[in-house]
Amino acid sequence: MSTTSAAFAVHAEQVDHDPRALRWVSMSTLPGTGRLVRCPGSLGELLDQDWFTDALAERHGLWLWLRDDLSWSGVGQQVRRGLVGALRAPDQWGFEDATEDLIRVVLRDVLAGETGEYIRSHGGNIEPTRISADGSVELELSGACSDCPARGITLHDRVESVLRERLTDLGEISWHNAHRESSPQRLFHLLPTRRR
Amino acid sequence: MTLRHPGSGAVQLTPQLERFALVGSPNAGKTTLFNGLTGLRAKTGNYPGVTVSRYEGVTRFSGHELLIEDLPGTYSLDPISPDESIVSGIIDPEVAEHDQPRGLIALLDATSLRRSLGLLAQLMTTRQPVAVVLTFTDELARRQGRVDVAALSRALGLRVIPVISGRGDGVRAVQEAMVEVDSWPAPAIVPPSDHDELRGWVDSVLAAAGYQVPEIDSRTRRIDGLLLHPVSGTLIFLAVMYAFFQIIFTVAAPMQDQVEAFFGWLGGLASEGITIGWLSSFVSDALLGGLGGVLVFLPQIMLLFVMIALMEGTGYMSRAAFLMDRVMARAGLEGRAFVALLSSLACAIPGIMATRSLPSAKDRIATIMAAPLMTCSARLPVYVMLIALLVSPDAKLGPFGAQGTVMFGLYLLGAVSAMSAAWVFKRIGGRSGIALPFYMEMPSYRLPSLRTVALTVWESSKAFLRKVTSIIMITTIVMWALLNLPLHSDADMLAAGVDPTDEVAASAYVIDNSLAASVGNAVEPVFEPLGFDWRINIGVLSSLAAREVFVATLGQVAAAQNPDNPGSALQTMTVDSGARAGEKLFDTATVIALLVFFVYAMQCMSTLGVIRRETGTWRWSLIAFGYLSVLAWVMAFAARSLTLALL
Repeated sequence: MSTTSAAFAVHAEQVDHDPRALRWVSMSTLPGTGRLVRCPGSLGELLDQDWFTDALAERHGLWLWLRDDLSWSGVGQQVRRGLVGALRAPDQWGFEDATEDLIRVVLRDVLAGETGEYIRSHGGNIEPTRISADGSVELELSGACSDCPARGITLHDRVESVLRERLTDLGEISWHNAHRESSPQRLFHLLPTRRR
Repeated sequence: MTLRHPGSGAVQLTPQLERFALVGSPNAGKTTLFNGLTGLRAKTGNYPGVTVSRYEGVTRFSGHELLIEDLPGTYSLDPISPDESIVSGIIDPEVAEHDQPRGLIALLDATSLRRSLGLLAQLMTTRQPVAVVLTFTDELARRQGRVDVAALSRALGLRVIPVISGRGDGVRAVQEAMVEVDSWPAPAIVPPSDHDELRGWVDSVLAAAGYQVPEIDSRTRRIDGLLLHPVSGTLIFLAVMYAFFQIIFTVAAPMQDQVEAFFGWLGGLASEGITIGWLSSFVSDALLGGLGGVLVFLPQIMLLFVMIALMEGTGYMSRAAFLMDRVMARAGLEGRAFVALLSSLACAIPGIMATRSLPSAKDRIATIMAAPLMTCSARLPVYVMLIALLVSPDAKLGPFGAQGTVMFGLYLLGAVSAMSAAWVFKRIGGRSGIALPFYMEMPSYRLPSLRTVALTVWESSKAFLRKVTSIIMITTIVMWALLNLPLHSDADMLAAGVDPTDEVAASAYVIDNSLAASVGNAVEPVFEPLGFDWRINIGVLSSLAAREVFVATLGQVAAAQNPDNPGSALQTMTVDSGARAGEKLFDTATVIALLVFFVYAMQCMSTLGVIRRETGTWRWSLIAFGYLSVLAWVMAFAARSLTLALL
């Protein structure tokens, strides 16, 4: 019983500062990633009736932005049932490429969540400066990150790996330090710091 | 298991404060948190069905005062048992019979998160403000389990506060959370209510939180292999109980001697120092001989509760319940019934209230009818006193003390009788419906917290002292009056051939011709076949108020006859009339009959009152009183006849 239903196990997570959005997390992998344009069953009908202003799919999560005149507390159960039903017919899902939007949303989510908290707790900060249509991402490190000897490992283990777990079309990730007025490592402002 | 005595009830409702309710499954750590928040008002329990009545307490935090309600432990809001209907009644906004709490504090046991989430989903569905307290995270880590608290909080859409038992910072975090109730996150959509959909939601949340089920503690598993084994487990259980009753006599006896010596000294002072005749008699007989006679059993009562607290604190009580559950199943009763019967070892009242967790009305009645047979702490003084009359402290049974062995036998007789009674009442009641699942958690073995043990002993000692200074004192004073009235003039005594200046002879004359003696003599025909004389009769009658009064009444009689050493007065007391005239009153056969009588007799008005309250009718109180009184007489008669035949 548990194994059959686990394939269609979902729950919804709220998104910080975006009450219109819910991230529907699925235990099973979604049929594809990108902007959802076609979907079977009742979720497909809701999609066709423009219930959502946008629908983006990452590997295990479907981002849905609800139209302004609807409320999640009102229609949430209906969407859930639609999603569970649609997951039973994975071959009928259709996606459009939305690499840039998807990366932006997921990256924001990752940096707002536990990963970002970890970085902020160490006095650092990470901001995306450029996201390209080919999936490449440029990040800017500031605060304690700039001089942190472990920044490479942190970026790889805590940011890149999390992103790759959630996104299929992620390209290269590069990073640079933010320009700063001063650095604790600069000896009396005499020695120049190296910028990447 | 609830160790409260009647009288230590819940705190009064204080409606002007903001109220928060603690909700969670039994054993989720609710009572511990409640104690931590309110400052030791309820007892810690490691036992399913720990909280049966409504408990409230006030928590104070940086200028705020909040009311905390500890709801009965429950696995769901489906009102199957009375306990669960209380909880769902308080929580469900559609049920208007209770005030809505300002917020719900849901306790989730991190070591059994999957099951806890089912209850949480139901709580969230009510759309009331909910915050989650995640308990036993330390145990989860120790047993190689894992949960990401931040991810769990995101997946649930709720505030999640991890607490570690015995740490104050968790309590503070909960208090802070309650103060900020207005900013608690509310999930945008509630979990589904359909069974399969709910299962999917739980799976998904657990996966998102990276939950890893804890391994069964290897130490616990090894110990359980031994303790839960049908043969070795049962033997160990019996050995533990046997050892305990040995301890009651070997450890408590010296303490009891001290207390006795103290009261003897006070008695000496009183009879010398108080010149007013009746006042001297009142102080030395009623207060010191009667009440003092009961108070000397405080060490035993304390020891009993030390043992119960240790068994609970270590996690052994659940194992005992599990073992006994098999026996109970034979009797056709389920595990919940045994939990209730086990509670009755402290006092039948919490035991009877614990039957609220029984979903079947028939099982409930059967258990209520059986609960008074379990040996409660009120019988302990009576047993100790009578056993001292039966066997000397030095008597041995092999390497073990005979007194402890007799006590063990009495507890065993009580337990066996209780189960038989439950079986019979279940049969009379006919077949009951389908058996509902009974969860009994086996907590890992833990070192009991000293504070919890001390608290249990303190609470029960307080309850005992309160009982001694209320119902027992009142009954004792009434008995003193009955034993000393009507007044006799010196001329009466001289006419009867008694020297009024001989105090002992005079007081013996007064008692022998008192109202109490007339009452005792009047019921003589009923109790004569059991070997009781009028003195025992009034003891038995007065103990209808509370069992300990038997000790107090006989203490008064003995103190009047031999103020210096009431203990030996009982030993040497002789029957003054009837077939056994001149014989020792407390001979072996009579003491055995008395002991057996007290195993069965329903001598507790509070219990009858609670039966009435729990069943809603006096009928069951009367049935309990009737069947137990008849049983007590018949069994005592049988025991006496058997003893006489064997000796």
